[in-house]
Amino acid sequence: MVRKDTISPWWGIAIPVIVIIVWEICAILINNSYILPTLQQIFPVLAHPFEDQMGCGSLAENAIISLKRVLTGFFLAVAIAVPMGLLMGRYQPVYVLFNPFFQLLRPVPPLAWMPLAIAWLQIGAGSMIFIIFLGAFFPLLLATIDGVRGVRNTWCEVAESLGATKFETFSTVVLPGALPVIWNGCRISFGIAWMCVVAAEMLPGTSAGLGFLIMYAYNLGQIQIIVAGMVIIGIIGIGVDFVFRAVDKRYLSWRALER
Amino acid sequence: MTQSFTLKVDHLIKQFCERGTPPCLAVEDATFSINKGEIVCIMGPSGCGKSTLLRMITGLELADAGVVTASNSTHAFSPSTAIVFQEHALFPWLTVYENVKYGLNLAVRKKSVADPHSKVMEYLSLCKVDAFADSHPYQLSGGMRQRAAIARALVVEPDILVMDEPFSSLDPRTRLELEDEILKIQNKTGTTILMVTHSPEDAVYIADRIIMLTGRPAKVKEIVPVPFARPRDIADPAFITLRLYVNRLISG
Repeated sequence: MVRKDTISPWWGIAIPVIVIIVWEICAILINNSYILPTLQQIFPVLAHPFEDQMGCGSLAENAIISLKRVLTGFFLAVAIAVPMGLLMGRYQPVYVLFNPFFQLLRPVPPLAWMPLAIAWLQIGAGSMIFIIFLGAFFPLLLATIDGVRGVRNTWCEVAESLGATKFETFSTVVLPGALPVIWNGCRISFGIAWMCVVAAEMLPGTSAGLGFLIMYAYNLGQIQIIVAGMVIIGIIGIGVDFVFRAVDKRYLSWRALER
Repeated sequence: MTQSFTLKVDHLIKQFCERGTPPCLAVEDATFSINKGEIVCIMGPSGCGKSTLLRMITGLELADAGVVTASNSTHAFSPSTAIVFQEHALFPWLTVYENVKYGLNLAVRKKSVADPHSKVMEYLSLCKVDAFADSHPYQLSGGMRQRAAIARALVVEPDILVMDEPFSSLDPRTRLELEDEILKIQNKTGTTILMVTHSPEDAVYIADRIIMLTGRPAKVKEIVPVPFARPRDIADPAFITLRLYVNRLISG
């Protein structure tokens, strides 16, 4: 049944199309490719993602370098934030011990760690991965704690009354019960990690990655490459988010449907 | 478990201590016994500690004093119990079949089960939810969910089926239907049933005896035998008289 007050999802394309048209009109009117390049200037860059740009490698190469950094930092965050969040959400003493510490660190923007990160890990991949890790860590930690707390006590009691050990209750009830919220936390964390990598790559000392490419293009006045780089960042972000949502819909939809 | 046994609840005491408040006595000296195959309802004013009592019997909560034992002619043993809660106790991420299988998987450690699949199916059809084996709980009505929850509890073949207000979220028609179903199942399996309920009608309809508790802290106020043969008629004058009597006991 189609409700009267809903519209087709295809309408979601409307606003991007309008923005592109307005962009093109403005670009033609302004007629200054250093301020606003036209689509005819941007599109050729996007159409050749494997072509070397300014001697810094292709869009695809740099995107893959950025993605590798993000994935490393993100998986590090998952590996630490999820177990930590499980313990903090389940065991009050762990929560009391660690919560003030994490709350203190949480409001510090990841990029503010850059000087220290460089001092500790030197310029390069290590310090960038550290920044990405910090960006992804806190939202995921909070989501995991929330997820564990959302697990109904009766579920755990059913397991216990059937003879489950503490560990079995944890692995067969708490973990699957908290998983949809943890998964959503991963999704948000990955988005933040992706933003962090591009910002970190823009800082001096980097020599590859989409953020670096954008900064380099800025220094050489290649605005069309900047915009193309931004488009690639957006497309990868949407793509990853789509995968996260598809998995959620396929395997974790029980949470939304449970009244 | 072919031998007959008696479950004894002996001077059970429970108090709750919360930081910064004086300790609060929830259950004071509960003593009663239940025979194998009996259906017993526990009733009392709300907040009187009925659920705490149930939780101590099932081992979810430790008593501060007193013991729960089951004994047959030769020795004492700890009875196996399985619980059915009020609602929303099925694991929503598992199908009905997987929910029932879950209990069996844990029970398999104690006694081996030859054919787990057919055992799960057997209890699903006993509780008449076999048609919904592959559905998730959110796809089921309240009555169907409770049937599935009962199947999950029964599949481990507990000595005692413990139910904590299992019908309170259901409409009256579904309640009666499920109660008839429980009686039928109990007839087949001979499981001892211990059930907390708020409804005098439910209790008089289903129970062999009703254990009436006082207000907090809970003590046994009176044990009311229900002498009627089954199937019982809720419109029978004797039934109504007893129901009203039970109702009066709760409120005052």
